[in-house]
Amino acid sequence: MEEAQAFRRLTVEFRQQDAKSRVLMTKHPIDGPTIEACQRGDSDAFRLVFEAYKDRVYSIALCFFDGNEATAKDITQDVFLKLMITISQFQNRSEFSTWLYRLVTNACLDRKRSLRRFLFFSTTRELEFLDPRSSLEDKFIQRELESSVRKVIARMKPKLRITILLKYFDDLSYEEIAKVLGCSAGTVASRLNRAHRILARKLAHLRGALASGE
Amino acid sequence: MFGKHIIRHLSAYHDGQLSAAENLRIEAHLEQCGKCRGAYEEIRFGARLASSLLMSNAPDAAWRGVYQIPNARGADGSPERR
Repeated sequence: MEEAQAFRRLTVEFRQQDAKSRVLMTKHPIDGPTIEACQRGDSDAFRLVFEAYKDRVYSIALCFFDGNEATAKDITQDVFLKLMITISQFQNRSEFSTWLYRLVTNACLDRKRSLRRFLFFSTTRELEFLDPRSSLEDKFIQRELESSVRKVIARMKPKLRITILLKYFDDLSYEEIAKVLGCSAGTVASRLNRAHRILARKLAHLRGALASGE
Repeated sequence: MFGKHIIRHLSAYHDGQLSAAENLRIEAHLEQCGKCRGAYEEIRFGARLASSLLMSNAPDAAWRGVYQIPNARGADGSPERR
C-alpha cells in the first residue's frame, strides 16, 4: 500500500518536474546591443550575460563531472573568462548561445581529457528548484531520481554526455546542438537515441514507478 | 525511408524534430512494428528520466573569480588578452 502510494507520488512529481524543467529552461536571449556593450568592455553588460547563462553553464559542468562542484565552478569561471577575452571575435554569424555552448563543450571535454583518473565524492547540495510545497518524502524521491540520472549520465562517453546535457539544460534543437558540436543533426539524433536508451536500461528498475498513460 | 526499422529516428520523433510527413510515416510504422514500438517506449522512458535533471545555482564565487578580469583593460578600454 505504502509502495503504491510512493509510486503514485513519484508519478505526480515526475509530471510536475516536467513542467518545472520546461519553465526553467526558458531561453533568456542576450540581444545585440548587450553583446556590443560587452565588446566595448562594459562590465555591467557582461554581468547581464553572466547572470543569464551562469546556471546553465554550471549545471552542465556539474552533471558532466558527476556532481563535482569544484570542477564545475572552475569550468564556469574558465568559460566566462574565455568569453570575456574572445567576445570581440563574435560576429553575429551564429547565435550567441551556440558560441557560448561551444566554449562550454570544449571546456568540459578538455578537462575530461586532462584528468587521467579521478575519484568523485558526491557532495550533498541543496536542489534549488524543488517545489517548496513538496513534502520531505517527495523531495527525497525527487533527489534520488535526479541523482540516479546524473550518475548514469556521468558514466556515458563524453560526446554522448555533452549532447544530452545540452538538450536538457537549454532545450536546444538538434540543429543548434549540431552547430555547437560541429556535427550533423543526424549525429545528434543518433547520440540522443543511444543516451536515452542507456538511461532507460540502466534505470529500468524505476520504470514501475512511472505511469505510462500519456 | 521507413520500410525497415526506424529506431534511429525515434528520439528525433519524440523530440518533435521531424517534419509532419515524417511523423506520419513513423506513426504508421509504429502501429505495425512491435520491435520499434518497444524501442520507442524505451526512448520515451529515457527522455522522461533525463527531464528530471534540475538546474543548479552557480555559486557566487564563480562570478568573483571572473569579475576581477574586467578591471584589467587595455588602453582602448577593451579587456586585456591573457
